[in-house]
Amino acid sequence: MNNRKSELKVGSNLEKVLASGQFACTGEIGPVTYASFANIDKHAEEMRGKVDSVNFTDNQTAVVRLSSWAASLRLIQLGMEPNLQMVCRDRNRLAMQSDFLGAYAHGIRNVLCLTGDHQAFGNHPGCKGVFDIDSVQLIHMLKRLRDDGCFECGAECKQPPKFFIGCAENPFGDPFEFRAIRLEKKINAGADFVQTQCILDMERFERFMEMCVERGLHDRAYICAGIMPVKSPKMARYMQHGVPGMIVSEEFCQRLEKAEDAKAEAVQLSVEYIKRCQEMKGVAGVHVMAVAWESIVPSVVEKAGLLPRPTF
Amino acid sequence: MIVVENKSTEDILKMIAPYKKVLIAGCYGCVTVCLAGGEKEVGLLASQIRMAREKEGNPIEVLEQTVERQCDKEYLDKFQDNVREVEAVVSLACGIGIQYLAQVCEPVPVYPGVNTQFLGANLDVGVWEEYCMACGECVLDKTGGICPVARCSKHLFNGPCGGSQDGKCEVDKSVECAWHLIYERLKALGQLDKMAEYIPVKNWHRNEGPRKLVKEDLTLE
Amino acid sequence: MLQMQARSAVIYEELDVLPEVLVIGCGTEGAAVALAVSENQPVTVIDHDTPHDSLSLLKGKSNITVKTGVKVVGLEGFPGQFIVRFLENGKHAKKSFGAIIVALEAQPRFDTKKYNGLELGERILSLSQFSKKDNDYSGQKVTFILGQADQDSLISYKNALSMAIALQEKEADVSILYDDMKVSADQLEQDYELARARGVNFLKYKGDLQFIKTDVAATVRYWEPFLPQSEQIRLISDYLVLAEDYIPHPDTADLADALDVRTGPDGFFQEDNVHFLPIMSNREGIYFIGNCHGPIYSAELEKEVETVKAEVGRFATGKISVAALQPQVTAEQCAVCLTCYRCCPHHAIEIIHDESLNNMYHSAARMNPLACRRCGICAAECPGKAIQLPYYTDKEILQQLSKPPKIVAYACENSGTLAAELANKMEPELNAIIQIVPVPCSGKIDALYLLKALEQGADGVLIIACQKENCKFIRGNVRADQRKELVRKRLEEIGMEGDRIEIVHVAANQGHQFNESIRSMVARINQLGTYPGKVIR
Repeated sequence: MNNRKSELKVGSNLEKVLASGQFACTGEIGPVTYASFANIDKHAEEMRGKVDSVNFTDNQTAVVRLSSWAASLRLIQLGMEPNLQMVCRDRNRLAMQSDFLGAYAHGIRNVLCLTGDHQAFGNHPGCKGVFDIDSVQLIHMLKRLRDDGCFECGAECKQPPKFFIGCAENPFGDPFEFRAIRLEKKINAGADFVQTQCILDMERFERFMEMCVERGLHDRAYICAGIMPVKSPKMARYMQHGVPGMIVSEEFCQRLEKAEDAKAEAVQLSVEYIKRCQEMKGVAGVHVMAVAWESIVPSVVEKAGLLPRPTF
Repeated sequence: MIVVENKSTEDILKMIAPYKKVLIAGCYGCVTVCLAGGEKEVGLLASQIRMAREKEGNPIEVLEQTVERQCDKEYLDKFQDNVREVEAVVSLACGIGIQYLAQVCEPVPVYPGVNTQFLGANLDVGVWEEYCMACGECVLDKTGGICPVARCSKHLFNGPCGGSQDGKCEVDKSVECAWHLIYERLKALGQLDKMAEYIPVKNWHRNEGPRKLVKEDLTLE
Repeated sequence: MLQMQARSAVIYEELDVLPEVLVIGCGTEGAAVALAVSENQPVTVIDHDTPHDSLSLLKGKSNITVKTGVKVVGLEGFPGQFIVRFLENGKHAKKSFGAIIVALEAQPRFDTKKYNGLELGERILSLSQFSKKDNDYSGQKVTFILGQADQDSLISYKNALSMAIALQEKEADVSILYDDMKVSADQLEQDYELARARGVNFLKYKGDLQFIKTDVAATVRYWEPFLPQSEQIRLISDYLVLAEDYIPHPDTADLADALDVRTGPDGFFQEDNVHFLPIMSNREGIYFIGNCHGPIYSAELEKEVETVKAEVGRFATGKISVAALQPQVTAEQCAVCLTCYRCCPHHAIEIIHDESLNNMYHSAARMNPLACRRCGICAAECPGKAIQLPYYTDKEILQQLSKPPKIVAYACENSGTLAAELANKMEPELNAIIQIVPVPCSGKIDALYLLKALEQGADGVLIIACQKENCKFIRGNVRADQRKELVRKRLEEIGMEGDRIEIVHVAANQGHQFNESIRSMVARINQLGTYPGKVIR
């Protein structure tokens, strides 16, 4: 539930929804590995009016894809709101600030600051992982630009970009007790909203939210839970064992395995999880990331009772 | 210490293919300690080279010599007698020694017989691990004595990232997550509050090109 | 053919040693060895717990000090001058000793799983429980059961027979139910004969036993292996006395760690190695007696006590003369890399610092003459070629290769050269084509020796090492095996066949197997042909 009402810092659609105390809902489109906007155009239409803003990943899994800023710009041109993602793996602070100037000038207003999967996972494993700054330092840098009007080096920026600053958090990473401390560190550095890694183990997420609420983090930043419809039991099992930093509950896997129609069950599970998040203290919204299944988002959002989306 | 690994003998043979008399130059410093470039390894490589060239009907004479270090000119001078006799030198010292030797041996070419890997600790016989990246600005006071630059795969200063699980780095299960180690260490030291402290962006210290250190008060007149 | 070495006169060093001996463990075994050794030297006996009976045996002896509540937590120094670190009632302390004898007794442990879940009680006792009881069993039926536990040692058999004889003499009605009557040690067969003569019933069983206990009797049901039975025979007794297993003393692992000595099968001290005499540890000056190295029984103990007494007796006068045959280190070539220090199986190496040592650290490795067992592993491991073993220097080894034959065989003197002698007697023509180069341990075989043998004219090289897990110096044959792999890779790197280098593991009496290995190697080398990398000028 989201009971906060606060002043606007930036005025993006996503911020307006959250600041008005309503339950937010964002989506995600994965850019392709070739030079075309076709999939973006298609899925954007499907999500129009169904979500408050749309994430575009940044060379996800260190595989070369159409860049997040180019995809975000496309969405602006289509009249919807993007969430630009910036990873620390591929750009130094110079390139990042340069990209931010351009992105803001184009009308992009939300940015998610991430570390980035290690280059070893991708299709150019011997390349130099930049990591000039880390995600916490990136958040800090964006806050300085917005609130102090200066670059990282301290020099004044005449027309600074002012972004609604987001970060990610993995409630399933180790050490568990430390995760809330780390989130607090990011919020101290300036994070306005949080998107968690997809929740496939509700019990653990509840414990995580308890830790966050205890520290009052939900009052300082909007915490949105990641929801992923997982369309096959095989994929669920793969995520349970093969993906670092991911914990999938046994119950989740079994429900998909036992179901007659796995896809329908996947939607059902997502809807249930969204409803639980709506009840949970400290959760301000959900982020629906349907990896390679973007078309299912409208259905999930509708069945979860999240329509119509607020307009301003 | 500097940890090096032997290049493949095949590669070395290619480098010295045109020559009939060479010197294998070893070093009693780090490369002896990491069991790659000392007198013994010089002997093994020399034997391999002689036998390989004998087989191809193109015999070669191989001299062997090892000195204390190859990063001080006085020790490099000890090679000169042998260098005068040969057409090329293969050095088993680290990249520093190879370059310095190449400088003093000119016009005789000096080839690398090893690949310099990293600065590491010798954990046990035959086991070395990268501990330091000579970044120029040590933060070990903030991280309980565990370096986030060398030992975190993404050299994060405010880690861990989301890929840390069961104390392991997402890159491979055999790799420890440095930030997990830092967390445990700070906990053991009673300094866990340092974990919540923000460490600002780093100066990567490459502003003046290859780094140089001159201690003015100690230089000779 | 074996090459004989011309040896120059040996230099002897005279060293100061401490006659004081430390005995760890104050049970009957610790007390026995303490008493024996104290005839010539001062002995300190320590125990972590407060032992009962043995203390009285040692009270008032002039040369014996007993301390309880003491635990060994660390060891520094070398034989003759050990510095032992203790925890004495929670406080840290240090004391020096010349030698250390470990006498921690094995503990009996009753395992109900071996008796179908049977619990001990008033009428069902373990052997160790029963031995402590002082009741009058005249007219009572007591049955000992042997064979369900403790199959490896003879302690149960010895104890059961002794107790049976004593009981029978006191007019109890004793039976021993056994599956195998194990009497393969001193005195046991006589005990067995005596027991029979006294009227003890010996009953043989085979297979599972069933137990029934009530308030008035304890019954065991068994199958007799020779008589036809339709159901199990019932043996009703007043008391059943059951054999137990013996497990290492609970302090064993910690002590092994503190003294840096090795443990073996089932966690007892000392590995299962044919070259290790019962009292030997992997470190000179540290000895094991009694069942700390595996459950044995008292007759063996006497022999061990005598042997240890003679061993530590070498330190009784405070001086010892030792042949300076340990490896020598040339400081100029020593990088103090610690490789030798870490590889030494005997804890015989230290790093010393002295201005006279001519290298940048003024430090070098040094092998202690009393601790060193002259295996030469350090010399073969040294990356700086700083270490030479007297009589087995690189020069002395390599000059034997002046005219190498088809196959050079570097042979360990604890197995290889002995097997070779036997083999040569059996098949002299076969052995004529190989050249044996003796080494004190296969671990002394430097990788360079393997390559040089080929370089200087051989077609193939054999390493003759001890059987696996039976290297006298623990890891020599393991290192030799690793070096064989290393050299094979180096040969393959230059386009030669790695198979020209081989390792065989033999025992000293395996002349026949030795010949088989030679035959096999000759066949292989014939197939591979002359080695094309010989550099002979």
